[in-house]
Amino acid sequence: MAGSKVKQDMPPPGGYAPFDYKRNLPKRGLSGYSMFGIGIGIMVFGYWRLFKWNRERRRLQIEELEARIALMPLLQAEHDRRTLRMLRENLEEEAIIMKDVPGWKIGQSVFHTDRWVTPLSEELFNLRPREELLHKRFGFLWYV
Amino acid sequence: MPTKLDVPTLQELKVDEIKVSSSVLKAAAHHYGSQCDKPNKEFMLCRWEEKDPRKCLEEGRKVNECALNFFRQIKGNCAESFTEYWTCLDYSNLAELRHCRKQQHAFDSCVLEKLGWERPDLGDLSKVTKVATSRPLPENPYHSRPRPEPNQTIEGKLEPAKHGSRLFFWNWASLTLAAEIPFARCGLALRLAQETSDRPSSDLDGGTKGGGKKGYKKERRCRYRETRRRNRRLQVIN
Amino acid sequence: MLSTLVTSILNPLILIVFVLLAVALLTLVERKVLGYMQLRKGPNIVGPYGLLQPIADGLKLFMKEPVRPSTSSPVLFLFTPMLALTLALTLWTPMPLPFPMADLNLGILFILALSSLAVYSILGSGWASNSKYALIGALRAVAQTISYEVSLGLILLNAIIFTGGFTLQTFSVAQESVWLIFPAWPLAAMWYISTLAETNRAPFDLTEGESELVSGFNVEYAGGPFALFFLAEYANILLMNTLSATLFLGASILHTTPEITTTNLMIKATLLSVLFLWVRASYPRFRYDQLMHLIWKNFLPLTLALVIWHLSLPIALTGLPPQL
Repeated sequence: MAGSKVKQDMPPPGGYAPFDYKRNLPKRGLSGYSMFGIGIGIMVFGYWRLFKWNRERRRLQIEELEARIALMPLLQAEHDRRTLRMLRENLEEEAIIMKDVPGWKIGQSVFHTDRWVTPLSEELFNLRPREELLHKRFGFLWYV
Repeated sequence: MPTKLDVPTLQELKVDEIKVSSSVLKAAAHHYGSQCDKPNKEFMLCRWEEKDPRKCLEEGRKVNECALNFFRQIKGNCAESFTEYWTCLDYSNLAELRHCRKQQHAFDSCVLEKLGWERPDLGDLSKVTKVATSRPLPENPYHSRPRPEPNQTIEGKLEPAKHGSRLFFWNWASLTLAAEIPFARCGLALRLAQETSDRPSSDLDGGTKGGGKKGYKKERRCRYRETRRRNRRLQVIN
Repeated sequence: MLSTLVTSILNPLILIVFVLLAVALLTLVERKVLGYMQLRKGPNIVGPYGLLQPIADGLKLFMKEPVRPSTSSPVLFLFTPMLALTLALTLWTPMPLPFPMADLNLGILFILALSSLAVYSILGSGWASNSKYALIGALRAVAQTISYEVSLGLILLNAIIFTGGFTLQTFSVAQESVWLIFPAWPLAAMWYISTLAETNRAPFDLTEGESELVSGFNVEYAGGPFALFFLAEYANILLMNTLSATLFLGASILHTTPEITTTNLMIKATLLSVLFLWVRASYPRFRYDQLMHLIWKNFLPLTLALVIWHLSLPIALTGLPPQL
């Protein structure tokens, strides 16, 4: 015990000197707060530009719609005439086709009314080639 | 009775149609809207009021005439800048007006200079307008049948129902009665009757039938009594 | 007749050929980029700079004997790889490049729906293999894909609020003034991470899980069917990046020089793809619970909150887009 020859390996009196084990990263770049600020700033800038553009887009859309509004009477008048013309042609064709059927009244409406009934496109294109009906239906389709 | 469809003859429908493509129409749309404002509005009003294309053919013809005139004037005065403008629209994807501002400006200034037409401001063409017209307001454009005669007024003395409304369930009287569960006793009577009658002949269906019938009758009598009692109480409360 | 032939056979065929070509070159790019990131060269023997390597790989795969495990469900086993590739190619239909194959009104919803349909090909293949590794891999992949689809959908909703349309062309119009990544960069970051997870890429490639699952849902596949899965996977990656470019990087038609629109779009998509590879080379794999926490506890609340924010802000500042 007291007179032991073995010298135990011990720390020096007063302990070891403190050594530097701390993670030591150089501080570089912006601080967190400023990066956060820049991020928010970019968002605000983006919102501003986007909303401005969206308002402009609304104006452009109004302009496009006004073009259609202006053209609508012309196109509607043309469309009405076309419909009536086709109905008239159908009636004349009907007269030729059904002339041998006794008791057949030409142009008898299926509806019990005097008011204008907009004809279906099938009704209009019934006596024409099928391609015309298909073109009428799908010819100007933009969206699927 | 089905009615006869009457359609104007082809002769009546004959009009010089405007055979131009959509980009031409779109390029001219704004000026057209302001120049042919009167016949256009007239036609649309007619179409709206009459609900029948056959009755607005004359107005439609005027629309067409005005449009023809309009395009003739453009062709006579600003053919070059107009062609440039609509070609630009034609070549852009969705014929959006914003892609051809330069050509539009050239066309607008040409039209202003030669014809004195001013391009309408944004929102002018979509304004709600009043139209002065000599066409009489159509009577009954929907061809509705006349309104049915109203019901005759009831003669005689009208009195409130004797026992109050039977439709209304959640009043205080019924609530207090519901709390008493007036028919519970009847159900008990039914079960008692069944049990007593079932015991001698429970193996056969025919045996239970008589007992069931008897119980049913008993229950009905019981319910009747209970209802009477309840009504009397209701009367007292009311 | 001729127009039908062109629109319904020739056009899709051209698109498919070029998508497959892009996919083939993407695999080469991946191997090259990963190689250089790990200080090696990558394939450089077959053809100049190894350019013909993908073709050689494809040839090899399709000439190999396709393995068909005797205990598997044969129909489903062969059907699912075909389904995977078909879906991956169909997804390209509404992509604006700058003009889509079919002008779908609800193109974004179409893409969302079909990409969630791709789950069934994974699930089917994993189940039909009749192997527990494949099955577990498939289940993991499906759970992950479905979870991340939630955040993808919500982020899309945000973007739709900004642009005012479900058509992808609307996005190019809306971004003419400013790219959507600027007002919505948090969304863009989440979107990018979600696409990583959606396509089962590193660091979210838990389906593969080499150490425990061998190779994930496609262990039992070899030869042609495996090639189909492989192509589908890379086609999906490319598609997702093209979509990200259209959504956030403003790959719109440049009206002054419309010719370079497609080049512009695809360069952006390629850069995003290279970023995919960079991420793959840099990050360790996520743990499964971390993966699930990321989506359900971080992305989902954040995107939901941002939906409300991005709805209320344009309404308050009258910045709503035009609606038809």
